[in-house]
Amino acid sequence: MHKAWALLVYAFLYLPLTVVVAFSFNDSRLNAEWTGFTWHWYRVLLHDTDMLVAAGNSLLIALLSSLIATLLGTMAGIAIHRYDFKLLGYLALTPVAMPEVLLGVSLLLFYLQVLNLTLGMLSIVLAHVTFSIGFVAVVVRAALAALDDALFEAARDLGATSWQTFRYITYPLILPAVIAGELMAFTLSLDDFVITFFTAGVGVPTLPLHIYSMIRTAVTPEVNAVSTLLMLLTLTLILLAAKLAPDAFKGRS
Amino acid sequence: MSQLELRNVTRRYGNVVALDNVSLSIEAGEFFTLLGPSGCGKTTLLRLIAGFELPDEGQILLDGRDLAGIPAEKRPVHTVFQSYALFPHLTVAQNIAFPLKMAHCAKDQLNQRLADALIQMRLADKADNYPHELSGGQKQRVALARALINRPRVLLLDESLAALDAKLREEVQVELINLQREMKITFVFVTHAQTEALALSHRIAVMNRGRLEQVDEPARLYCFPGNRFVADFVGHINQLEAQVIVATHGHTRLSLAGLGEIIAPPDKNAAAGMQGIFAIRPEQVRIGTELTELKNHFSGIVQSRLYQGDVSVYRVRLESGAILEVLLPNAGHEYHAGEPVRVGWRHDAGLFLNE
Amino acid sequence: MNKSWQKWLTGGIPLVYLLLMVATPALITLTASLRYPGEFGGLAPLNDLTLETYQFFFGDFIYSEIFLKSVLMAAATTLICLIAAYPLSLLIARSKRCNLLIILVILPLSSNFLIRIYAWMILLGPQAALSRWLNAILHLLGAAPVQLLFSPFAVLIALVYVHLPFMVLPLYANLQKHDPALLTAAQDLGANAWQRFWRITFPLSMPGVLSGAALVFIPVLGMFAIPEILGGTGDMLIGNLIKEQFIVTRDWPFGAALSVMLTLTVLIFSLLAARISRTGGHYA
Repeated sequence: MHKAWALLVYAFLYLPLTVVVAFSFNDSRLNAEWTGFTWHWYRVLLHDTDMLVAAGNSLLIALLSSLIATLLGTMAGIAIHRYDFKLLGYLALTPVAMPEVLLGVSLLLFYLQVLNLTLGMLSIVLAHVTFSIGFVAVVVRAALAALDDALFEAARDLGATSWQTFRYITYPLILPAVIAGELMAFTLSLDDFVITFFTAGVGVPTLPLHIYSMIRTAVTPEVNAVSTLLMLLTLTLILLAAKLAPDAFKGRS
Repeated sequence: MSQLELRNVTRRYGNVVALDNVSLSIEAGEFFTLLGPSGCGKTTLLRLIAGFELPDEGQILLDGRDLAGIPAEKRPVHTVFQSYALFPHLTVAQNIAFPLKMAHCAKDQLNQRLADALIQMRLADKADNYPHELSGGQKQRVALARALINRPRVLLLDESLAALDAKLREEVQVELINLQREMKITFVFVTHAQTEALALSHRIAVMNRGRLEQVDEPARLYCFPGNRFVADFVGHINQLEAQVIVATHGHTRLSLAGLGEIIAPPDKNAAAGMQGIFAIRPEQVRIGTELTELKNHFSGIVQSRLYQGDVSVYRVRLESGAILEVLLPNAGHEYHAGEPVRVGWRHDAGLFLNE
Repeated sequence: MNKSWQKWLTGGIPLVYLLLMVATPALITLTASLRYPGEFGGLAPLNDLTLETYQFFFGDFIYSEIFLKSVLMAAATTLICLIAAYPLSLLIARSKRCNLLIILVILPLSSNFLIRIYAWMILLGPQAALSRWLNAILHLLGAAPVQLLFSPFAVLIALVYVHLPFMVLPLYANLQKHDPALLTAAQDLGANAWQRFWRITFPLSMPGVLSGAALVFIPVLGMFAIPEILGGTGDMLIGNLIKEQFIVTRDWPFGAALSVMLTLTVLIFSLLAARISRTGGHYA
């Protein structure tokens, strides 16, 4: 009986996406009936300069923000686990625990009222770093928690200085988690809509923002095509991340 | 001069006093054991020697040098942890060579000493394996090899045998003794298993609630426990309420509550009128039908018998209501529950404990 | 002493960054809610403070109504997600191929959030199969045709769709740790299948249920994209309201006040959840 229910739920989860992917190859403007197979929409996609610019922006932002977030998040994860740094833990997880709207809105106010910052690349990257730190910290912390604490004491006992302990023991042991965190941060940034919506301003479209405006104005199966490609990319990244740090995915707290 | 000295060491955690004014001297080349129940402070003491924590009061001296300013990584003291703490991402060889690598030892020297250590610990064929591929006993040897490779002045072992099963434990105990006698490095060993302590050590320090109860060689500790706690903790012992009647040069005459008078070994500290305990080990008590050749004997009824293969432990109820534990080899006569018997012991067996 | 400066060395920089980018903006929002709106939108100078925005909020019931609707929508989504996810999580937790099955649940998350909404636009659209069949049946029964898209139904189903994996994951993580011996013992002592579930499995799974509920309820409270794209004109939720203040009406103080109210709502529910998990959770 459970099996039937499970199948139903899986079908529910995958049907919409299958439809999107399927219709990206559909030889028709309307997403209603299947008329024939075509690569047409992918060709349109490749010539759509607006879309390509948005994609390029998204990738650049994702790269920059994920690298910074990984660095800061790893430091945070180590600090929280080893020194029980509660304040840092709460601050890092707040963007994760709160509705995105709140972070987006408060950052908008902060940028415009206090920093007098023109909304653009910088404002987006900073915002993405902010919500990604928490995710990386959680992954790194989970990896550290799975290790025997005595390992670090043993290293010291056998003559290793703090730096040597980090370099030969801590770093190799958390590296898979750090990479997994980096991939997750990259994916989160690439996919983010709400926070980017508030902090992007006019000059810098990202892929999700561009898709949003397409959905609101003129929907063509080109949206399906870009969705399919985007799905492939993030899928690969998530699978890689799951391989490198399986514990982080299992124990959410 | 002793090699490792603790002077008036005190360590507190908030309101709890983990170590209370402890002073201790350990000789070079000694196998010294800290024995006590959990919470007695033995592991804390070990950590203070290793340098992971600092004493709130008192000093720790190694070869006359105060260790106060020296951090753990610089102390010539190494630890074998209870969980072994082998680095999972390094091979056996890399684990063992780790201390040499941290000390920036020259490559040839490192390889030579590594090879020697692998042979000594019989790990040569496992050199390229990872810790998770090893058995419990093998991990133990890797942990030992790693801690000994750069010849520390003192080796600390924190309940290192706790994770091994009984048979393996005995084998490792023998190995440890041989290793220590051979290398002549001072071992400070922490355990709560008193049989282990008795088997391995040159001297034992019995600890309880942050204080030293008695420091002595195993035989003396067993035969002449200084107080009730030590008597009770090290091995099994019978305790009967007693009062001193006469204390002379050659013997002590005690009155056992509800039973009568007995003759006990001489005790310098005993004086007429003192209240205390007469303590006697189960193997020192005999059971028989008459036992008139012994000066101390009483009637009793066998309550139960615990068969243990080579020996049996009998519980005999005396007239006063007290229960006496008696250890007898099964090769002799066997007694059954409900049987009336006489129990007795020699006039030079047991001892009087005052308090 | 050594530990203290190491703590600040590793944790200091992220802390400063987060104080700057999370705590400070939060404070700014709070103060913004207490100011007057500027002449051309935005905020007036920081001279006078006022509670005008809050009076405005509580004055007109329509705003409280939208809050209530959002809470109800979030509750409904959470409940449906829980009912849908529980049997699935149980199955995965007890299966030998749990790793594969759980990855299959995570995979849909790899698609962009907007794409998942867009997919429902297709599926619920008037020309899609579902709509046509439904209306055909209704026609046979003599009822008026319904529009699936741009309705609360569309919003709800999309909300469930987007958040379902977030209910499955923590639930699965919890169920996986259950000791099967407990159920065997219960059966041995005479409990039937329903009793075993209700008295053993479910209470033990509470921490997982609460985690999952939090991961669904709280984000849904702040959603605006789904109601905007899939909802009708009357289906506005708090998120839409806030977004409007900042982008359309440019009444920032009011938008800030709404954000503050939303934050308070989230905090209240979080504390409630923490309370429940503490009192009921001495099984763990």
